[in-house]
Amino acid sequence: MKKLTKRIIHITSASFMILLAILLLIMSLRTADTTQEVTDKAIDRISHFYIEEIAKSRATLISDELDKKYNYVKNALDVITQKDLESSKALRNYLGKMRKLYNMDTFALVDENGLFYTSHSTCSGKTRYPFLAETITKTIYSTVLNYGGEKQLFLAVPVSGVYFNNSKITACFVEVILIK
Amino acid sequence: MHAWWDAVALGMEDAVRQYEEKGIHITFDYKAPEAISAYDQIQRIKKAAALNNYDVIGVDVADIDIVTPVINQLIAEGHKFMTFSSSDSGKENGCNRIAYVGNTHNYNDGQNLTEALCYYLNYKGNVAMLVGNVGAPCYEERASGAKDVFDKYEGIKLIDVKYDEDSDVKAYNFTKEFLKKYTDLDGIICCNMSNPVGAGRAVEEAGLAGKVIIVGMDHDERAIKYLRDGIIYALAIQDCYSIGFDTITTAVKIADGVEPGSLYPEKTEEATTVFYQNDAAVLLHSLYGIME
Repeated sequence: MKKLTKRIIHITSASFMILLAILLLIMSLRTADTTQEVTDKAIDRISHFYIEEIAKSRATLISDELDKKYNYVKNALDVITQKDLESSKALRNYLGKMRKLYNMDTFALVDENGLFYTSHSTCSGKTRYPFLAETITKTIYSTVLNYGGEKQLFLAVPVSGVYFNNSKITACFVEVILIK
Repeated sequence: MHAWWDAVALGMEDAVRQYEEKGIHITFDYKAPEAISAYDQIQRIKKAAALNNYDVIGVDVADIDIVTPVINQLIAEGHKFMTFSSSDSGKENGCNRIAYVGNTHNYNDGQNLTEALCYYLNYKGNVAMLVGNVGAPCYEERASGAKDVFDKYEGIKLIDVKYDEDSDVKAYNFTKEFLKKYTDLDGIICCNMSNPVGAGRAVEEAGLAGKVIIVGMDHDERAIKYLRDGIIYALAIQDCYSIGFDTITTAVKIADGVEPGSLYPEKTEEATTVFYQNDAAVLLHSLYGIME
């Protein structure tokens, strides 16, 4: 009887120990999982934080660049004089000066017939610059896809009170280059 | 302006930009009419000459017979003329223009496109042709090249020819008429940039892609998409960028008083390349930035 009781106690203890060990193993694994999950979430949060900050900073850069270009255009239009509009040569001189002064790649005036004037050229332009197809009544930003797959960003501003070669100048547009 | 000319303008602007980097300031006027008209062209040429503002005047000749005498008269008055793009009027036409930059092989382009079409049709079938503007040298030469190829093959019959005045809408309407009138139509050859767009649209709408085979010219985005989708079989694309670029570099030499010779040829030949369906994705990407 004593032997049986001892045996029962041994078996019970052993079973209990095994159960405890299994339980401990399961709990360890769960803790490890939870720890991993917590770590992953922390990394996610930090990554999102940095990405958001970078995006905000980039958006500010772009916004500042667009504002700057808009101000350049406004300033350039403010200083145009009747003398600049006397001839093609005078107009091209003015456009070239403004382009260099404000470091712009393209600086153009458009007339009511769809002709656009730059420091180098006078061209028919509506198909080349689709945003000129409609009358520009407010400041717009538009992308144009050049042959070669290169996208260009343009800022176009309505113009009033300026005439060249008996035609009304309706808009001014510049290329905005965000990365040089 | 026709989109074809926008691609030429890119080449011109690049040339001007490169000259500017070297401190040389080049200016140019680049104006297009609303529609092709030889009479409108001679008015514009005369007006340009009268301004006396240009070192060189460049012309894409709308009609050799009508425009050549005007060019010659103005040359005699001391103006310098060159021709460019797809249509020349040269010495062989009695024109005294100094040089030409552009497509010198419109007849061959017409032949090559037509050979491709005939090959696909196994040299048997009924075909129609869309040309463009009556009298425009480049379109007429391509049409002439095409007709000579059709004449070679007994099994190929040219059953209709229409002039769509370089309008994709007119080309579309003419193609619809072809499809209605000729139920046994097997192919259409298109001699300019606009008519494969119109023809492709009509054939697609009729559900006849692969049954009515289209070949055409140049790089309109819609045409290249039809090429991708198998609605157009082949497109012969001209190198418009080089036409624009070389026109400026040649004009500068002419303005400097240099005659054709060692520095530049009297005719600068620009390439045309035939593209097929498996080229379409690359074309869409490289020309229009479309990734697929």
